Amino acid sequence: MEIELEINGKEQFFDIEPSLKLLDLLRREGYLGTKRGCSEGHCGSCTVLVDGEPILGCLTFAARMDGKSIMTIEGLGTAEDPHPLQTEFVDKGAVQCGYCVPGMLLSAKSMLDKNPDPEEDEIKRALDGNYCRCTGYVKQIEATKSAAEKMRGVS
Amino acid sequence: MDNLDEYIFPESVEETVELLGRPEKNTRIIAGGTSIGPDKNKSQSVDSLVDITRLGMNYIEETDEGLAVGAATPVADIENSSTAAAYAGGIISEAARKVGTTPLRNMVTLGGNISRLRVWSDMPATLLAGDARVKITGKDGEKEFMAEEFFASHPGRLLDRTDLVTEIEFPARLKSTAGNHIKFAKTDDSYATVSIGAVLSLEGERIEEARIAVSSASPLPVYCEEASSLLEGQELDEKLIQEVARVSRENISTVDNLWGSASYKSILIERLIPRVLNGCLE
Repeated sequence: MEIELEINGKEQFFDIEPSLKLLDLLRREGYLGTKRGCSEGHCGSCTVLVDGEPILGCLTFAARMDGKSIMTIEGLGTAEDPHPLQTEFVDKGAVQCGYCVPGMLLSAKSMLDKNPDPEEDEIKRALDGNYCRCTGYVKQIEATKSAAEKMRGVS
Repeated sequence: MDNLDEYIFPESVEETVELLGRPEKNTRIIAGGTSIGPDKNKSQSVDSLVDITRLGMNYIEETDEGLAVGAATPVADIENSSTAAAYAGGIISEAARKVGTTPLRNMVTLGGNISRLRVWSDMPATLLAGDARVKITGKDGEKEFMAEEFFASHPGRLLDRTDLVTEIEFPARLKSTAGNHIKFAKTDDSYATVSIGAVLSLEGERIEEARIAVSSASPLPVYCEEASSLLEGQELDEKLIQEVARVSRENISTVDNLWGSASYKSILIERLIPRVLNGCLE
C-alpha cells in the first residue's frame, strides 16, 4: 500500500507492507536517530512527534500515519545548527550513551512548544515516557529548564 | 503479524461492522494500537486491521444525558479536558492522567482501555464509580450496557466479533457529585497494584448516593455494591469509613500478580478506601 507522510517538513510517498511499524519505516529510510529499545511501548527510545505530540514508533503502524506530519530528531537540529535543547543537554552533561536522548529531546520539545515556562514537575511529567539507564534524570531536567530559559530569552 | 495483508480506514461505523463480520478474514479493530502485539499462534493470526480513529469518534462533549466521550478519544485529551474535569469531582480526567506515560496517553483510547481490558487498565474503576453507560454498534444495530454489566465478564467475551464500542456516556448527575481516585503503583508510571474510584452525591453532609469501585486488585474491576450501600443516607464518620473499608476488603477476591500479592492488595483496599472517601470531601 502507498502512504504519504511529511517527515521533518518534507512530503514523501512510501510503498509499505501493512504490517510495517513506523519505527522500521523511519530507520529503513535513513532516520537512524529514532532508536529501537524495548519494542513494547515502555522505554520511549522510539519516540517521534506526530502532529506535534509524542508517540511511540515501535507500536505505531506506518499505515496509520498516512497524511500525518512527523518530526524525528533529524528535524530538531543539526551538529552545525543545534536546537537550544541539544546545546543544553550537551552543556549540562545530560548525555552519556545517548541512546534515549533523541526521544527525550522530542518529548521535551513537544512540551516546550505548548508550555514555554514549565515547572519542574511539568518537565518530569513530559519526560516520564523516556527511560534513561545511565545518566539518571537530574541533568536532563536541568537541561530542559535551562533550554526553556534560553528560548524565552531569559539567560 | 505475518499474515497481515490490509490496513483499512473505513468511512463509517456501519462499514466497520461489515468489515469485522467478513467470515474469510480475521479482522481486528485498531485504535490506539498499544494492545496489539505479535500473533499468539498461526491459527489466530490477524490478517486485517480496521482503523477507527478517523470516524469522528474522537470527542468529549456535553449532551442532555451527560458527558459523552467518543470511544476513539485518546486519554491525553480526557486528561486535558475541562469539560470532563467538571464531572464526578474530576476523577475521569484524574484517572486518565494516571494512564501510562505521556506518549502512551497520546495513543491509548478510552474505548480500547475498557474493551481490551487488562488487569492494570486504569479507566474501568472510573466508569463503574461514575455509573457510566457503554454504547456499542454491531451487526444487529446499537445496544448499550451499564458499566457493571460491561465488566461483569471480560468485555472480550461480552462483545461479538462485529461489535464496536462507539461511546462512553457519564450521567449528567455527576456534575454535582464529589469524587476521588487513587492509583496505587510502585512508581508514577508503573501498572496499578490497586486503583480505587469513588463518587458521592451529597446533600449537605448526608450521602444520597455512593459508588465505590476497585480495579487491578482482581481479574475484573468491581463495583463495591454492599460497601457503597452502607454509605447511603449517612454522614461520613471514622467508624462508618472503617466499616465500608472492611466490607470492601472482604467482598473482593484479590489475585497475585507482578504488582502485588493477593494479601497485600487486600490490605491496600482496606487502607486506601478511607483515604479515597476522605479525599472526596476535600
